[in-house]
Amino acid sequence: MNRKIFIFLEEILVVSIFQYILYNFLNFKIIPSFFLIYLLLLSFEGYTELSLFLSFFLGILNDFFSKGVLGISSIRYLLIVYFSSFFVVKSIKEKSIFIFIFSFLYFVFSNLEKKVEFIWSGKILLKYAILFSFYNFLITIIIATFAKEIKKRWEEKYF
Amino acid sequence: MLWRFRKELIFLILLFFSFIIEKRTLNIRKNKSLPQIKNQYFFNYDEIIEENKRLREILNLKEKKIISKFNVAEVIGISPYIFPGEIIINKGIKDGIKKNMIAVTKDLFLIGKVEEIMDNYSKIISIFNKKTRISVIVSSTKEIGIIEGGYAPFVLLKYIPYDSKIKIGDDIYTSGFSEYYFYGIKIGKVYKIERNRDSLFLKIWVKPYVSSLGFKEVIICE
Repeated sequence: MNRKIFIFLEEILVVSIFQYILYNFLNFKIIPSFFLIYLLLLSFEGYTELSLFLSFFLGILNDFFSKGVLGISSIRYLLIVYFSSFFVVKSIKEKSIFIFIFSFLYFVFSNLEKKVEFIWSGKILLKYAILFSFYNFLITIIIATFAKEIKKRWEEKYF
Repeated sequence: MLWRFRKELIFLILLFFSFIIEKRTLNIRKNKSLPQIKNQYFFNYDEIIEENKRLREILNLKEKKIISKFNVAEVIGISPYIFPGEIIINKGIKDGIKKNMIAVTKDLFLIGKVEEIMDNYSKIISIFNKKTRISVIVSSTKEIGIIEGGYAPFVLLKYIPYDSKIKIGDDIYTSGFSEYYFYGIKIGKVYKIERNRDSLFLKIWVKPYVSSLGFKEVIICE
């Protein structure tokens, strides 16, 4: 149990560092969301409750990093993770496709709020939503293919 | 029974907390920005618009190449409060202000010249200052005289011959026969002409344009 907690904490730390770097050191218009990918991957692997809990905390952390309104990302993550929990996804290919779809929904949902007042025109929204989903899709493939191996090696080394 | 819906329960509880946090953050942000909004009501928007207008006019001078090299400074002090003899501006050596540069209004009416310079501010002596002596020309007769300060709200035009055809309302501007003032800067209009039989010259009172204009920005040029 302790071992699992340690691994999760380690993963959260790595994901948070990556997300922080993206927010603060890269000057891209659209940046991928490591938090969203991580939460969705957890949910697909069956850790739904944990994923929901982490949605709350990582959402707060995300708002803190992005200097947004605290709590707003938590709501988005919670909704996306909750709906994603109804799908059973096993293979890397499926995971990547589902993450693409959920990232797309997340992006559209994030930018169709009342406060934003539809400042994005449909075409631009679609363009950036696809771009955002594509980034997440690529990262998922990378994580899913390489991280498992790395994780295994870490586990062998430390435990 | 509840255990079966644990996912939904966790989801709803966390969603509820997220909404509370979001609401609170929004309220805090709203309260923080409220004083700024309140302050906006105390702004004199007319004054801001006027300032904008004045600065645009100054910019036009450069675009129309009426004067090419100049500095715009803000008046931060005047003495005395009416018809000031000394004007303090917020620019000094650091901003490229030099001694004896000319100060004019945005309409290119003469204010005076820079007398003292510090790092960040300068002192201008205006045409009302009793130290002021400027070589001028009368627009209608092209006669040359000397403007003397110290007679606020007017300035005294001296050395215009007794038989001059100068008349009230004539424009007076700088003659250019001076080390500091170039030709053609408008100073004022002839207000009153006194003829003294004992003197060879007329005593002419000139009403400077700057006396009737409140100036908040001055143009400093060479």
